Amino acid sequence: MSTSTIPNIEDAELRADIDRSLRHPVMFFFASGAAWLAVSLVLGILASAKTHSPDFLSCCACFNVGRTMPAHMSTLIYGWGAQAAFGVIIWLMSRLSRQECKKSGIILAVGHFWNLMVAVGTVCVLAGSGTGIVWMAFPKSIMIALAVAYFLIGIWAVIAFRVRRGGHIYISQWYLLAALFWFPWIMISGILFGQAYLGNGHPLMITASTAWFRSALMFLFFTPVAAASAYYIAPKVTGRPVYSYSLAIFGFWALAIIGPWAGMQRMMGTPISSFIQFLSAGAAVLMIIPAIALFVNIIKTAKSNSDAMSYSPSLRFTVAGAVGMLVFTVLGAMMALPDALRFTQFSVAQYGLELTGLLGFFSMCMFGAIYFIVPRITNREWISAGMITQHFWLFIYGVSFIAVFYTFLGGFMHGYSLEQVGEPHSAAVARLYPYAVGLTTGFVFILIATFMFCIHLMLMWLRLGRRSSHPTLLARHAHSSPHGPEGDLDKLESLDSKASTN
Amino acid sequence: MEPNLRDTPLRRFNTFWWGLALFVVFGIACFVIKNFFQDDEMYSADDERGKERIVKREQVEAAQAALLEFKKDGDSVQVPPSALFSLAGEILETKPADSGVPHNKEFK
Repeated sequence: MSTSTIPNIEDAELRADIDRSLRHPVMFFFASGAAWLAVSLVLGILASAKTHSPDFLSCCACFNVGRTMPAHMSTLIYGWGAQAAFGVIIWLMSRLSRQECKKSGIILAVGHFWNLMVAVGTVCVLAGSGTGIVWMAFPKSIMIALAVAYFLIGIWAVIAFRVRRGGHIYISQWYLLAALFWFPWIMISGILFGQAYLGNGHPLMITASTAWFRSALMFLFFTPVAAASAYYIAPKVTGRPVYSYSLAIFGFWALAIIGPWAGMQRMMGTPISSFIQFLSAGAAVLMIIPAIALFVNIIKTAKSNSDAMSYSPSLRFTVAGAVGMLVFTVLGAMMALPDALRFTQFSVAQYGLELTGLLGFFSMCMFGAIYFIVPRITNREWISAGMITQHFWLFIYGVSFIAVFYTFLGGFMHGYSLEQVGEPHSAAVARLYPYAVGLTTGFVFILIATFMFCIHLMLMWLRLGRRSSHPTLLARHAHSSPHGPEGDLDKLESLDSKASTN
Repeated sequence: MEPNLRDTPLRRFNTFWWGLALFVVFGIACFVIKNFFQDDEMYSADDERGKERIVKREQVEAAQAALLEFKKDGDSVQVPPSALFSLAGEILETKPADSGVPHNKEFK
């Protein structure tokens, strides 16, 4: 064996050790997150169906739109979003810091606690004990428990960074570290100003705090985690460096400087300082800058090896996520313009925008990361390329329905109708009808895709994936089968065992 | 593989506690802002608007009073309404006297 291959073997062993150390917590976060995504979509369909068919499941109070809607958003954020982010953060940080996780047992235990709290919170919301605060519908005690659980999950990623091997800090690490520090700031500020001071504070300020919380959680937690994932996946899959590292760093600082100011444009016209409202509207428009930086970098990196985009599921989802980021910020910028806010401030456009961001941008990047990470930590390959393709296209159809039909067209039409002084409110609701049906249709597409993804992921966790040294690809590439030749690992193992017996 | 000199138990221990401290600092900062910089007094929007309306009303009344003061512009004289009211009051207080001339048609 030549001396140059020794470091490569050591590197591969280190990577295998890291993957092995994180197998159970990461798989747990991904699998439970996917299950919560399915629950969230079912609740979303219930809430959406209530908009166009109010008598649907009207037998039980827990299916009221006032309960299913906050339960839907809470499970989407804390059940799916946060857990997918945790899985990506701890794995990516360990890999980039070249440090295996020594506290995976604690992370796994706290992960169970997190899921328990989300389940209890969801039951509380459905039972009518929710706070009624958007994105913070869980009772205060649950939110505090989630914040504590977050610390016990996130701190190990920070420690992995602090004791990292090597001096270079990758752009993905910048984003991950920022997300790790921004999350407690957002969470604690949200809990204290949105929930704890509810009795003493002014309701208007609580609404304003919540508006900021929603925007900050999206731009300062979900966005950097998705960006970190994209900046890791694109160069890894294509085998090329990031197109422009300086542009990536510029995008990071643009996000860090602009992101915290957005959110208060939703309070336009309320008796809070006007400069805050217009500053936030400006920040929401300027968020296009970090989005363009991410979009250009990911697309250019992916185009450097265009074949990879056609056959790699990870890269395909990641590129779709980069496009989703651009669409999300452009839609957000349009809606933040004071003239457009007349139509979007009180219409369904804001909810549609949140769905576009969470599903079209963040979730797509997370799926890209999951399709990359899971084969490495389970030591198995994805079972079916067809299921991945269907997952991708069904998700794209669903998100496109929501972004174009519900958020853009439905949001503006609903807002226009609400603006007509001579029309009763029922006319605005009637105008929303086709768009609400469109939302339900979009949710159904995404739910089918999510069920397929859940089954696929569970089979992988049970280690029923393919035992092959070739990854599962979406197009015919180097082999007659898109999956590559089956049973390679078995053959290699049998050869090894023969060699050892001889 | 080269040993990782950064990875020491003390560094891990320090990071844990610094992380916890930072986590708590966010909460303390919010508590300080809430209790030392935020005014807990509740204001009613109606009351605050009412105060503005009272100020405006006083300004309008002062402007109107200024318009009704004594002015002399050439031959014409503007007197305050109160002066006229006092004169009118005197006139109204006088009792009508019989002119001695009948005004009824029957007397024609």
